[in-house]
Amino acid sequence: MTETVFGPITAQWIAAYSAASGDDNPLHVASGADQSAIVHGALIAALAERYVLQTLPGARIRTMRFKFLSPVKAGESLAFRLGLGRTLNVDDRPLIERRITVRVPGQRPCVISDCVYAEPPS
Amino acid sequence: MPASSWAGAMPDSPTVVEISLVPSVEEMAAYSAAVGFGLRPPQEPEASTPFLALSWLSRPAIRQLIAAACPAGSLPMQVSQTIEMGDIMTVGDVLVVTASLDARNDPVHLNYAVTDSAGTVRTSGQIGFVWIAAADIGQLLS
Repeated sequence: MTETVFGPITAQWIAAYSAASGDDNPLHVASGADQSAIVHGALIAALAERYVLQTLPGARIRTMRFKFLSPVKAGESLAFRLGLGRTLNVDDRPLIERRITVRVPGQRPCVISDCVYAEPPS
Repeated sequence: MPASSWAGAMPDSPTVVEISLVPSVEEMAAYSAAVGFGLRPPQEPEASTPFLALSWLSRPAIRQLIAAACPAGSLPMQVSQTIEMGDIMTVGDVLVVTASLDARNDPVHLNYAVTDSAGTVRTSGQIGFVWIAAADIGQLLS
């Protein structure tokens, strides 16, 4: 499955998300000589949604679950990859569940997401 | 914003918050610009509203609860999130966000739901987070 890389997620990008979301937690505010800041988990979640919809056009997302395993720092890029799917039957409607692995290229996964979606009508 | 603005640690900190909201095109446009997709073209907001945007609208209630419960000298760091989605939101819908927090859990769990005027839950979710000492932020970033 295709891997998609978003980023680098700059301090400016994080600041823009802080302003739009009102999440001004100092964790996300660039500080120090290297202007370090931690990327919002909700921003990574939004990028995961963007990745799913780009990779599976027309998919209707029903559920997303995220585990944030390690912080992502400003200036890092994130690579998203979809795993194999399994079919779920919920209310007699077939849904697909697939795992999304997110990592800073060359590093261990920093976020794992399980996404449940309905395929577009054929 | 200084870290102290997150430190509530008040014995009577609220554990439940309820707010009303009406999503606007402008608000969705701000979200779309911040995450880099969605809400295009602007005259068709329903067709292109991102899945997570509705949950995102619950942020004022979530922030209020977390900030009030945050121990002095600490900051919240998210460790998990679950989002369940019902029908797609329509800009202009009258919605109510209800959020509740129980700080006795570790990680702390905050549950929220966004309900429309008919009482239908349009989205719900849970955010898990831990308190970290503000002094330890540098260690996280090193």
